[in-house]
Amino acid sequence: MDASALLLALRFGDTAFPSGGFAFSQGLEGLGAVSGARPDTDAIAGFLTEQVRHRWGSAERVTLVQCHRGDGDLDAIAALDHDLDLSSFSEPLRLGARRNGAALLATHLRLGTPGAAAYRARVADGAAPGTLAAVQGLLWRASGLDEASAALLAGYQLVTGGLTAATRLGLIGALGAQQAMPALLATVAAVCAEPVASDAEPVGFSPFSDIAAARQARLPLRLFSN
Amino acid sequence: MNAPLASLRRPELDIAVERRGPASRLVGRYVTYPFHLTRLFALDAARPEVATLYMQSSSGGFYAGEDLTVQVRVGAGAALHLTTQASTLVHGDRGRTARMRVLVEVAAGGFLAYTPDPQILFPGAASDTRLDIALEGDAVAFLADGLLVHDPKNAGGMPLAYRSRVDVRRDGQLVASDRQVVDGPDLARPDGPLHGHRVAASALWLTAETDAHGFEDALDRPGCLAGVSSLPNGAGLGLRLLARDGAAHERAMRAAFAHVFAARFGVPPAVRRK
Repeated sequence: MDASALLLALRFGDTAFPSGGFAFSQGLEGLGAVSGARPDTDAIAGFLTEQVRHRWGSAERVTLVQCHRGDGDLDAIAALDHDLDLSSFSEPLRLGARRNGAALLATHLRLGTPGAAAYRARVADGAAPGTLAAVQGLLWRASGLDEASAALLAGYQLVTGGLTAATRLGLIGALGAQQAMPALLATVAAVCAEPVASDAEPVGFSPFSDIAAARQARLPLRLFSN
Repeated sequence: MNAPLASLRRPELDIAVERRGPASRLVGRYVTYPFHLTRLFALDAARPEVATLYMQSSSGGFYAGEDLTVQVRVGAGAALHLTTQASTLVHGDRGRTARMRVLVEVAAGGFLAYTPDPQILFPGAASDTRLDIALEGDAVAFLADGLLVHDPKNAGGMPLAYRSRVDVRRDGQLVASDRQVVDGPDLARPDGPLHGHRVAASALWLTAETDAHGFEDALDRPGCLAGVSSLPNGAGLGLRLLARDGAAHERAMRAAFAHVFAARFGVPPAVRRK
C-alpha cells in the first residue's frame, strides 16, 4: 500500500469520518439471548470471527470488490447491490446494511464524491437498495482507494464496529476490545487474501448469527437496531 | 446471473398435482432410478384437498458424482405435501460432488410443502443442492432443507463441502435467494458455525404471512436454537435452526410444518408417519 492509499484508508477508517459503518452490532446484542449467558470477550471475538469468515468475507466483501471493479458503472453496481440485498437472509442485518449505506452516501454527497449524487438518487427512487458494501465499492473507488485497501478497510470497520458496539453495551472494556483486535484483524487479512472471481456471488453460512439477529429484533430495550 | 436454471434432460422424478373437485390428484408421474414414490395419501380428513407423497431412494443414498433433478408442479388450488421417509445419506468419494436440482412451480391458489429430512453428510461428502421455485399469484410454499454431520467411525472424519441454494420467483420476479455455502471441515470444528450442534436447517415459508415472532415461538423446543426473519421483498418468512441432534431437529420441524399447515388450512395436520 502506498502512502496516499494508506492515508486515505486512515481518513475513511477514522471514527471522525461519518462512514455509517461504526457501531453496527451485527446481531451482537442478541448473542446473550441465544447463548443464555452474558457474552465475554472470547464469545464476542468468536462471534465477530464467524461474521468475517462465514458471512462478510464471502458475501459483502464479494459485492464490495465487484462494485469497486464496476468503476462507476451505476447499472452494473445497482445489479450487484440488488443481488446482495435479495440474498441477505436476515432482515435486521439487511435493513442495517441499507441504513449504513445511506449514511455513507449522504456523507460523500456532501463531499462531492463522483457518483454519490447519482447513486443516491437511484436509492431514493427505489431503483437500488444502497447496501453498505455496494456503496463502499462505488465511493471508495471514486475516491481513489485501490481494491485491496477498500476490502481491508471494510473488514476493519466491521471488526471495530462490532467491538465498539460491544463496548457500548458494557460487555467489554476498551482494553479488552484492543486485546481482541489483533486476532480479528489477522482473520480479516486472511479472508481478504482470498481472490474474488469475476463471477462470484454473495454466499455465506451463518445460522447462529442469523438466529442472534432475529432474537435481537425482539429485545425490548435494545441499544442497536441492527 | 439470476437466470432460472434450465433443465437439460428429463428429471429423474417428475410429478404434477392438480385439483380435481375436493381433492388433489396426481396427474403426471415419471419416476426412475434412484427415486421411488409412494402412492398419494389423503391423510388430513378435514382437508381432503391436501395430498401427501413420500419420496424414497432405492439406492441407499445420494452418491458422489450423481446429478439428479426433481420437478414438481402444483396446479391452481391444489395442495401437496412432498416429504421423505428418512434422511438421505450423502456419501463421499474423492471429492466428487453429489448434485441435486429441484424445480418447482406452484400455480395461483396452490400450496406446496417440501420437507425432506436433512441430508446426513458422511466423511468426504460434498453436497450441492439447488431449488428453484416459481410461484404465481397468491401461491404458498414451505420449503425445508438441512444437514446433519455424521462421522460413523468417530475417527475425525468430516464432510468436504455443503452448498445449498434456493431461488424464489413470484410472478416471474426473483425476490429472494438463500445461498448457504460452507467448507465441510468448518462444520466439524467445535468452534465452527454449528456451535456444537449436529444439525443445521432452514425453511422458507413463502407466504403473505408476516408474524415472524409467532412462528418463532412455535419452534421453541428443547435442544434447538431457532430464529425467524422476514425475507427480502416480502417473499415471506425464513427460519434458521440449529439442533443438538436429529431428534431435536425433527421435533422442531414438525412444529414448523404444523404451524404453517394450521395457518393455511385452519386445522392441525395429521401425523405423517415415517
